[in-house]
Amino acid sequence: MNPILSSFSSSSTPPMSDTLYDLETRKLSRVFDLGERQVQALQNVNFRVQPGESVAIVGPSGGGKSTLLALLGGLDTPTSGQVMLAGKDLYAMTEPERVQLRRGYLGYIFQGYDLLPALSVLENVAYPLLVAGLGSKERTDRARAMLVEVGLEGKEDFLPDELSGGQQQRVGIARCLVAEPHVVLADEPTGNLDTTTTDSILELLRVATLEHKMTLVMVTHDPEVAKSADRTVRIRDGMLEVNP
Amino acid sequence: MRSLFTHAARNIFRKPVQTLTYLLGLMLAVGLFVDTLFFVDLSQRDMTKNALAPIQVDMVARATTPDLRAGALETTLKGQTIVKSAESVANADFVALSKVGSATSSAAGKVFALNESYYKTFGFLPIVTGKFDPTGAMVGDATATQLGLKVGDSISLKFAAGITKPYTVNISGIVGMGVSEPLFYNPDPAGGEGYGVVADVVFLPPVMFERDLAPALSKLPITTSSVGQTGSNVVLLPVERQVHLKIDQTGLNADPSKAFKQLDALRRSLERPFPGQVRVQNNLAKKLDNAKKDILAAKMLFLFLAIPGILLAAYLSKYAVELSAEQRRRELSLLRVRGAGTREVLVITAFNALILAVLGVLSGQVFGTLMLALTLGTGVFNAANLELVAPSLGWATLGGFVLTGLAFFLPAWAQLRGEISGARRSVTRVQTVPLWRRMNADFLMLIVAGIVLYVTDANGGFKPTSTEGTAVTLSFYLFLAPFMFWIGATLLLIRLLDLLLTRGAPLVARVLKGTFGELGVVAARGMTRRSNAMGSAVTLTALSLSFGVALSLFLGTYTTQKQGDIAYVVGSDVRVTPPASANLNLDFTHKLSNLPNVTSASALARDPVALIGSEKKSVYGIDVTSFEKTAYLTSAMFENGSSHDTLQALKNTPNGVLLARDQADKYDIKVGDKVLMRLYNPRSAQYVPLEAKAVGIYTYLSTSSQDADFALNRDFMTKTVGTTGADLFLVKTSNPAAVTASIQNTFGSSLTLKLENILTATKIDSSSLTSLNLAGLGSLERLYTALIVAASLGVFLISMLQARRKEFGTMRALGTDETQLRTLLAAEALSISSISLATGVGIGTGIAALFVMLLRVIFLIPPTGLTWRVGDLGLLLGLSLLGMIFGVLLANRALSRLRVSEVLREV
Repeated sequence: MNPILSSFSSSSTPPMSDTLYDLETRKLSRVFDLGERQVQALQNVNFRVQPGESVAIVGPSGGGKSTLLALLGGLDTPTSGQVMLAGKDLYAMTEPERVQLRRGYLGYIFQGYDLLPALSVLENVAYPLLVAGLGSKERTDRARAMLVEVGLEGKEDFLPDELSGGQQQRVGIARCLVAEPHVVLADEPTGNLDTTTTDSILELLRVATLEHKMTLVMVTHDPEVAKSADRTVRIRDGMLEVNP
Repeated sequence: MRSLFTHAARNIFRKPVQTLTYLLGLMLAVGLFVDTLFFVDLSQRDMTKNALAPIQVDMVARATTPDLRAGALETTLKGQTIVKSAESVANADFVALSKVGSATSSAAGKVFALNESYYKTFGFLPIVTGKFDPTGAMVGDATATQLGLKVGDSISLKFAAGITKPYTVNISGIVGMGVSEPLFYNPDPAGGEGYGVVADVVFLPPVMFERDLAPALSKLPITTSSVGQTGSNVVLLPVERQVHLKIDQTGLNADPSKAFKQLDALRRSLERPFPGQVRVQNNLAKKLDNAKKDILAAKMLFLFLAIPGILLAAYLSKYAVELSAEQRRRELSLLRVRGAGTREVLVITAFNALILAVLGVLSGQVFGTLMLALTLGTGVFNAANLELVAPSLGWATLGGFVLTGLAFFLPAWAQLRGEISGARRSVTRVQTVPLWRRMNADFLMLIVAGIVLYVTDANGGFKPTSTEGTAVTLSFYLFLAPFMFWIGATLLLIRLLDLLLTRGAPLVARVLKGTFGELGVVAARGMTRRSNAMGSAVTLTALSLSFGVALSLFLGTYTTQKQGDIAYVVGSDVRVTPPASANLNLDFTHKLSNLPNVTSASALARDPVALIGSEKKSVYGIDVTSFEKTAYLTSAMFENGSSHDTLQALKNTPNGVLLARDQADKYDIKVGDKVLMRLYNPRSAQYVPLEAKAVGIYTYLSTSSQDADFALNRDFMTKTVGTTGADLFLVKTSNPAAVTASIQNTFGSSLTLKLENILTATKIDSSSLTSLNLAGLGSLERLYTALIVAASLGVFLISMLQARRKEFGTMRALGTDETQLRTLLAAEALSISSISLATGVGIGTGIAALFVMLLRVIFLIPPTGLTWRVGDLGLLLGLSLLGMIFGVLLANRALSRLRVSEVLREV
């Protein structure tokens, strides 16, 4: 378990150091306005992840896990606080700058795989490269190579709904890794899979992030899945609990 | 129950997009339904009114026995509240009429006894010279011309054997007999059409007639005669006594069938007090009988013009319901998880449907009314029209509820049954080949449309066959052709589109890549792998456009044709017919030309009784130079395809003659042949021989409402025959109303002129169908088309966003920026729009061509093609384009408001 875990708390000031974290949150809060009432999804969350580290965020449903992940990925807007990516304030950036980050620095893996149903397996994997403006040949080559890496060689022309859940998630992982992100954000990556498939997917993630030296932040409610990470943080009622 | 209603209401307002989409479709359907029904009723009333307008004498009560006192009859009839005016008329035959002091006499004729008030009440017997005098007689203008009679002359009348002494009387006036047919209605009890017009007529004051002639004439024997189309035998009294009636038409029902019954009841009530003594001839009823058939055809036309729009708008609602099916399934599951029983769920669904129906119907009624006000002005809601709106609103309400039942409640109910039986756990459709496709219904319907057209053509259905005043029979099955074509073409479009999107996927990808770059390929994949959704969107948009295009082209052609028909009947913009006794010369043409707003004028000579062989024909004399400038001419009227060339051939051949195609066939005359004819000189009462050379053949020639069988050069005709050559005048102007008024003001005091123009002329030779004013309906439906196009595209794009919001959220998370997403959206929208546009214009043109072909029979000059009104079509396509842009903007707005973090959490 990474010793840095001990430095997290939901209310204390983050320790200042010269270390350049891949991800850091500073007093991050998110309040949802539901008209008649307000819901505090996150409350002064301070959280750091070092390069190459894998972190599992666990906690009960509605505790704020997915909200934190969305804020880390620049997909939502915090009510207050900051998200620092490699020392830069994510929410001080313009939308085009955030788009650039999503194209290269950040990668996403979703619980429901969220493959684009009209595109083939190969086209799905190549999609992040397409929107990033890479040429057709480079896209195809890299996507094919990634499919080999995730064990889906020969499935290039299949449509997503022609694959099993595990295979779809492999495509999702390949799609995430093909753009070689620094940080992979995974939201319940094995939430819809059986135990055997979960093990193989976790192994795949572990190997891939190690090989590509990527940082992994993973939301899960499964303690077994959390064990595969370098460290685990628990979030409850919008606040982080130190080293559960 | 109350809580279930509250739940249903909340449920509706919680889903604003689905609710508004559904309401939009229902509102457009109900609105168009209200407006169409209103137009049908409005037109029905106008057509009834137009059909009755030319009737001068509404009813004629004839005494069938000599013992009936006319005064008693008149008094009794006048007592009826619905009778506006009643005038006694007596008439008897004379065998000869001559001017005292002259050897020339006329053939047999009729003497009428009319009160002075008759001339004012009925107005079709203008006193062109002199005045009514209780001590003098008046004569018809033709008789005056023939015998050279003028006011102050004395005439002598001879009657049948038994009355030996001629009757001599002074002339106090001359009556124009141009439109005197109502005086000679055929007394055919079977109700056949026709007049027994007599050329020589004398009018006496009733006092003189009763004092001097009736006693002796009444003693003559009663005879019978075969008259009318049916050849029925009627009793002819030596002194025929009638009462001519004008009926108060304001109380007549707009529906001609009901009005017919009203009038028939009136006729019987008028006859009742005089059993066996009076027969009432109902001239209004005859016209209504014809109008009834025309109105039925008009209703069919209106419905066929509007039904596609109503169906499309209704389909929009159904489309919206289908889009929310998955969400409804989730809600249903949730309700059942929370313990709601089948009954509660059903009641909630019924309340949902009820609330939607009430909101949709109300908004549709308001919208329909607003659209009427927008296109026709608020003046349309006058008291008389308001009573027409009420039933339209009622029917539209019923339609709205039925539509909601079919589109919303039944699918929801079926879904509920499926859920209960466990047969279906999802509304995801299994993609199977639809029945229509397996049965090749598209091809079958197109073939049926073709067969209907062929059979109609083979039976002469497209040839104008109507005789004057009769209805055009448009059989209901004729409309099957465009209807089948519309459905067949639609299904074929879906088939072809599916083929394009599946088999032609690489082609679609190539095209979109070329237009939108690499993202075009993604869009192409989305489209080709969602061919069903694309098919629905393209079909809905294309059909809306085809509906609008068909309507625009049909209305353009209809209007042009209608104007052409009127101009053809009038001859030009204004026609001036002086009385036969006026003896106007060519100088009058110059006077007309010098009036303000007059572009040109042309004088025509006319001989309606010229002899060709043994038959009487109508021969006109035209001055080619002024006629070409003035008359309504199109090259389609001439067989060589050029009005100018044909008229120049006549001008270059002084004794040339143009002849109508039917006369050329009848007499086997070809261009270059010699044509011998005898023209009548009314002054000398002699026929003059004339030899002409055929130089051209026409199908139609604008001269007057009477067909022109032959046309000579006017100078040649008048010099040969010895007449002035100015029997009628055509006037070309951009302001027919002003010029008509100006002619009346300038010359009306000294001359009784018959003035007709294209604004007031009613077409007498064909169906009242052509009196339909479709312009209002056209404007309305153009707006509806644009709205339906905009709505269908907007609904498709927004529903696509709704259905694929998670997909778009994923794309955003994967680094797709907003511009790229918009490009994707634009690629799909543009593809749908361009395919819809191309197919919509194609199908629309086809339908319009079919409609025009079917309605050829109602025009005097059958249309040869479609009238492309660039402005109208441009407006329609522009409005549709605006609608599409609005749809795309709406979708873009929804896209920019997409909360990625939220949609990614959706299951």
